[in-house]
Formats: sequence, C-alpha cells, structure tokens
Amino acid sequence: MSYLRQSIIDMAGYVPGFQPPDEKDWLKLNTNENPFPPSPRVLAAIQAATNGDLRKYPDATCRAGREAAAALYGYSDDWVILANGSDELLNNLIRASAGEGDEIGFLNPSYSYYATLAEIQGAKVRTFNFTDEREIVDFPDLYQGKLFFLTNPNAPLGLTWTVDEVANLSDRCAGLLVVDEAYADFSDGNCLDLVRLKQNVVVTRTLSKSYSLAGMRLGLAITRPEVIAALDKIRDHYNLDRLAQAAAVAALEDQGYLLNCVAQVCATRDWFREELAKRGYHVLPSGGNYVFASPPDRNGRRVYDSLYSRKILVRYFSDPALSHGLRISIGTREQMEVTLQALSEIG
Amino acid sequence: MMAATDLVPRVENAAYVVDLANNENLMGPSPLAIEAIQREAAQVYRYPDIDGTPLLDALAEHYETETEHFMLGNGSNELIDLIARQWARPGTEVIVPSPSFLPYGSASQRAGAKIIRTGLRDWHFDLDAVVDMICEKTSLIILGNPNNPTGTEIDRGTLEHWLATIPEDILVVLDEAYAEYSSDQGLGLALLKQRENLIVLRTFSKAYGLAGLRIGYAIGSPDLIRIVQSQRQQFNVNRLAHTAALAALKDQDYLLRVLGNNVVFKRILYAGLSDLRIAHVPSFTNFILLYCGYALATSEALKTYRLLVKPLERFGLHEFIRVTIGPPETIERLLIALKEIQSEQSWFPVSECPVSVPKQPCSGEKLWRY
Ligand SMILES: Cc1ncc(COP(=O)(O)O)c(C=O)c1O
Ligand SMILES: Cc1ncc(COP(=O)(O)O)c(C=O)c1O
Repeated sequence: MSYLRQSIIDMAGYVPGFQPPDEKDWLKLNTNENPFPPSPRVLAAIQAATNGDLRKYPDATCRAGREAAAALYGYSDDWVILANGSDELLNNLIRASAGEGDEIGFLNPSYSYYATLAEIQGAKVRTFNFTDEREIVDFPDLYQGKLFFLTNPNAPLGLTWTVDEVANLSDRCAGLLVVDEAYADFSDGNCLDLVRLKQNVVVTRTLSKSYSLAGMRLGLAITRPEVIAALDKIRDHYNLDRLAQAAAVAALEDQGYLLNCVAQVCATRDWFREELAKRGYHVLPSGGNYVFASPPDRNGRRVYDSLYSRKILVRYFSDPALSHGLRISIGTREQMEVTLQALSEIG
Repeated sequence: MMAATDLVPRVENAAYVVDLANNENLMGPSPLAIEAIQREAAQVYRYPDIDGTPLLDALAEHYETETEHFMLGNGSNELIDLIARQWARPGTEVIVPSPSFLPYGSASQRAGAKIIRTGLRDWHFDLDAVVDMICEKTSLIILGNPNNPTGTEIDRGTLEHWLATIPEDILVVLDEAYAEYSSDQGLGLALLKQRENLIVLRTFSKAYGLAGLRIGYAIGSPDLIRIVQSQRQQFNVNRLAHTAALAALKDQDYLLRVLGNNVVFKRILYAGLSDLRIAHVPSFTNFILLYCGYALATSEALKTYRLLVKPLERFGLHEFIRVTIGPPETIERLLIALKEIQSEQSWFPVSECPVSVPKQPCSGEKLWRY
C-alpha cells in the first residue's frame, strides 16, 4: 500500500455524539436534534415520492431544491447548491480551496468535524481561541489560510457574532470565509446578506436542526456562482436521492411550520437557561438550540455521568477548555423539565 | 440522409415515455422496501446510524462473512470517487479497461492520476493488454464485470488466472453493479478469498431497483475498508436509504422474480432482434448493446416513439445504442419502433441470417484518448 498517504492510514477519525442502541429508552440531548417532528407536509412529500419511481435515478442537479432555497433566501438559482448534509459542503469547500499541505483555520472550540475533514484532505489546521466577548485572540490583520470556518452561532458555546463583526472578519481573510450557520434559524440574525456584499463569504445551512431532517442528510450553501460552479464540479454526481430532494422542497416551502418550531425551542431555551442560572450554573447566552452550561463545581464529567445513569444523554467534551461544562440540546418543555429535575437531584 | 430532428413524432399508440437509457430495473423495488420507508419516514428527524451497521450486519450474514468487510456509499458512484481520491493520486497511473462506466476514468482523472485505457477483444476486456500496461506507477485497475456498456462478463477461471499475474501492491477494483444478473453471482466474493488487494463494489441501484435512493457497498479486507472509510464523510447514506436497502436485501424472493423475469425478457428480446436481423451482443445484465449503424440518429429517432435509449458515441461506440431490457410490452414497443426505423433509414443495417454478434470496432488511439 505504498501509494497511500500515511496520514490517512494513521487517521483516528471523528468521534460523533454517542448513539445508544436502545434509543427509545433514552432522553437524547446530545446531538442538537430538534424535538419536533418534521413538517407534516415534508412527511407527505416523502410518502408521495415513495413509489416505484425509486427505481429511477434522481435529478443530478436537484433543480427543484435549488429553486426553493433561492426563492426563500432571495438569491438567484446559481448562487445556491444543495448537498448530502452540510457536512458534504464543508468537505467540498475544503477540497475546492485547500490543496494538500495548505492551511485552513477555525475557532476553538467550534465544530470539531472541521479538523477531521481537513485531515482527510491533508490540509493543515490552525485554530484561534476567543473570549466570552467574541474577541478572536491573535487573529492576524490578514489571515492567509485558504479557508476560515466561523461557526455562527458557535457550537458548542452558543455565542453569536454580529453581521458587522463577520463583515469585518471577512475583510481580514485572504481566502474564503465560510459562515457555518447550522443553527442560525434559532438566532436573531444571520449573514445571508453578506454573501452579496463580500466576495469571499460562503454561508452554509443544514436542514438537520431547525427543519428536523437530520436523517435525510440535507444541507445547502449560498455563495457566488464561481464558488457554486466549483462545488458542483467536485461533488458526487447523484449526491441527493429522490426522497431527500422531495423533503427539501417541502421543508423549505413550509416556513410557517419552521417558525413555529423554532419559536418554541427558543422560548424553552431561554427559560431553561434561567432555571439553570437559579441552580448556580454558569450558562452562556445561546443563539442555537442548545446551551453550554457549567455546574458550580465546574465538573462536567460528574454531571454527565449522573445524567447518563438516569438515561439522559448530553454532550461532554474531554478537552480541558470545555470539560467544566456540558452542551445540552434543547428538547421539548417537558423534556427539559425532566432534565432540570434530574439536575436538581444530582446537585 | 434524413437529419434526426426532421423526424415527425409518431406516438399516438405510446401513452407514456419509457426510459431505457439508465439500466434501471423497470420492475421497481420490492414492495417490502416501499413499506419499510413508509414505516420509517416519521423517524427522519434523527441522524442515521453513522455506518449503517444494521445493513452491514445483514450484508455480512447474506454473504456469510464478517461485518468489517463492508462499507456503504451514497451509491457505488461515491465509492468509486472515494477510492480514486486515495489511490489515483498525482504521479500514479490507473488502468481502465474500456469502454466502461465513465466515472472510473473521470474520478481517477479528477484525483490527479494518469489514465491508461486498454480495449476489448471480442467484446471482452483484453486482459493481456492490461498486464502489458502495468508499470511501477500503476496503483489501481478498475474493472467492471459484468461490464457496462458491453453487457459481457469474464468467467471465473479467466479472472482468477489474470488476478494472479497482477502485482500485489496494485489495488484491483471489481465493480459488480450488475452481478445479480450475471451467470456467477458469487464471483467477486470468491476472488476476495484469493486476493488481498481487491475491492468489490455492489449496488442497490440495479437489480434491487433503488437507483433513486443512492446506496451501494464495497466489500474488501477490513484493512482496505478502513482506508476507504477514512475518506468518506460521516453519515454519507441517509436513514431511508438504509431502511429500504435492508428491506430489499431481506426480500430475496422478490429479487429472484426480478432475475427470473429478466431471463424471460431477454429471450423475448433476442427472438425479436433475430426476426429483425439486428445484430447485438449477448447480455449478462439487464441491458443490451444493439448495432444500429448510427447511434445518435437512432436514439433521436426512438425519442419520437417516446423511447429513451443511450447512444454510445461517448464510449467510442458510434454505431451502437444501449437499451435497458424491460417487460414484454416495452420490448414490443422497442421492436416496432426499431423495425420502422430500420425500414426507413438506409444507415440502419440488416444483419446476415442467422444474426451474428456485431463486429467489435477497433479500439485505436482515436477512441481511447485521455
Ligand atoms: C456547526 C455544525 N455544522 C454542521 C453540522 C452538520 O450538519 P449536517 O447534518 O447538515 O451535515 C453540524 C452538526 O452537528 C454542526 O453542529
Ligand atoms: C458499472 C456501473 N457501476 C456503478 C454504477 C453506479 O451505480 P450507483 O447507482 O450505485 O452509484 C453504474 C450505474 O449505471 C454502473 O453501470
């Protein structure tokens, strides 16, 4: 196997959130999935597409999906691409911009999968820390990396950079600035308009979170047509199957349902944050469907284990910079009451 | 000669378009797969299993081996791409016996390798030519068997003998997208026992009738599978594709019906082609290569009958079309259309009687340019 890159052979691979085998017995607050089902119109669209036509190849361009996204976000079709999860876009943005040995950057902490994707491509990684006031530490006047990922709202902390701050950051990136807006539907603002204003900005979205479609694998990106064309060139030819395409169109077109779910999750999140604060937890303000909460003794592992023994699954990060807290996804009001009750018992 | 676009549509008796261009299974997937999707649909808010383990386990059971030998792709197309990214690196050479499925070459080229094409001998890959092209830069050989678009297969003895001559450090990929239709369904798996550095690709797109769902799989040693896995993104196959493929795999009775039908359909088609004296290459798949003199004009003419077929000029087969083998009513429509085109167009040949296999075009440089 002398032809293989040693780095690939040695790769450890990304460790995603634990998925228990007996899922139904658990309260799963560890992967930021939406507690509400997808829109009934989405389920109807999937059912309607579930027929003998599944024998046929899907539309390789996903035209209907692009049109729906373009109409929703106010861009023309050639500024939009849909993908097999936003993971596919994050992967292909690296492949499109960074060669082997080139550098890409992102914040620490943020979506840890960027590092795995960089490793797959053989790209080098540089990370920057930031403060609770969203100050990025030691960021150069002009960052020379080929691509910089800004998870906004930040995961796992929930902090959200303003549009002005992101615009300023884009001026300080020589390469692409990819604003990963996986959770933007849960936050007050977003950077969609920056795509028009700034040459180097790409906004990515996922339908996994706010649209409750993690199982369908749907993401999208809005950026300049040149970048879209490059992403189209390197993607898997039939990257989206028939059911995913049907689901995407129905989901993007049912904004009423989306806004209602998002409003409920956000209300529950803000209430949950206050309740945690009453119990002595330190909780950062969050623009996502999760909060990052530190118990008074700053021992995340202890609380994680105690919740685990009660079959409540939250996300614990062993990274010393994060081990003082837990990322807790926001479920329904009832689920969060159960969680609070458990946290009260744990103390 | 009449330009294809001058042909007047004549479709009064053809109520709908039949797509015979993509080698899809016209019977569609197992009804159990459809039901399984309907049951699972409400669960789509959950991420899929990251590796598709229940399906991998079922595949392992089906093939009587271990789960570690399998991985899933978003169609075998994705698997070809993942393999190319790792093995077809700049500075290497990839041998692609041709004509064959176009992504073998395009994925390898995109990954940076130099593509070396070898040709056919009597409609079968010239395996000696492949051996002749091996050099120290050769990292990968991608072989379709049964092959698309020829529809031919290479027998087990020949492949075993050939594989033994390929240096161990070269990865051989055997794409068995049509294996279910072939005369030797266990071929790839048997070869894996012989050779370590081999990956076999299979798909649910063809005989299982699930092209619309994008799911295929690779079989190989756990070490090789781990390397291909490391190239893929997490969650590359969605929840409903997992569900449908698992149900389809478990419904082997339905698969047997599909395969049994294909045998019958083929017999009907062969008889009709013989009557019309249209030369063709005997098929070990669900599609067939027809000699029609002028590929593009024939495919355009067939469109006026609302029949879509694949003209093969991009494969260097300018005189051939590829047609999916369908049920009797589709075959009848095809034969009626071909008969009319044949009688009206001087370029459409009438073969000798009895019909022989068409002469294979030479695969000179002009055809296999890269
Ligand atoms: C910040 C961020 N980006 C992207 C993703 C991946 O989304 P998708 O499911 O669309 O691949 C996640 C999922 O957890 C995420 O947290
Ligand atoms: C030989 C061959 N391999 C692979 C494929 C692609 O299959 P999938 O749908 O699994 O990507 C095809 C489809 O036409 C094919 O003919």
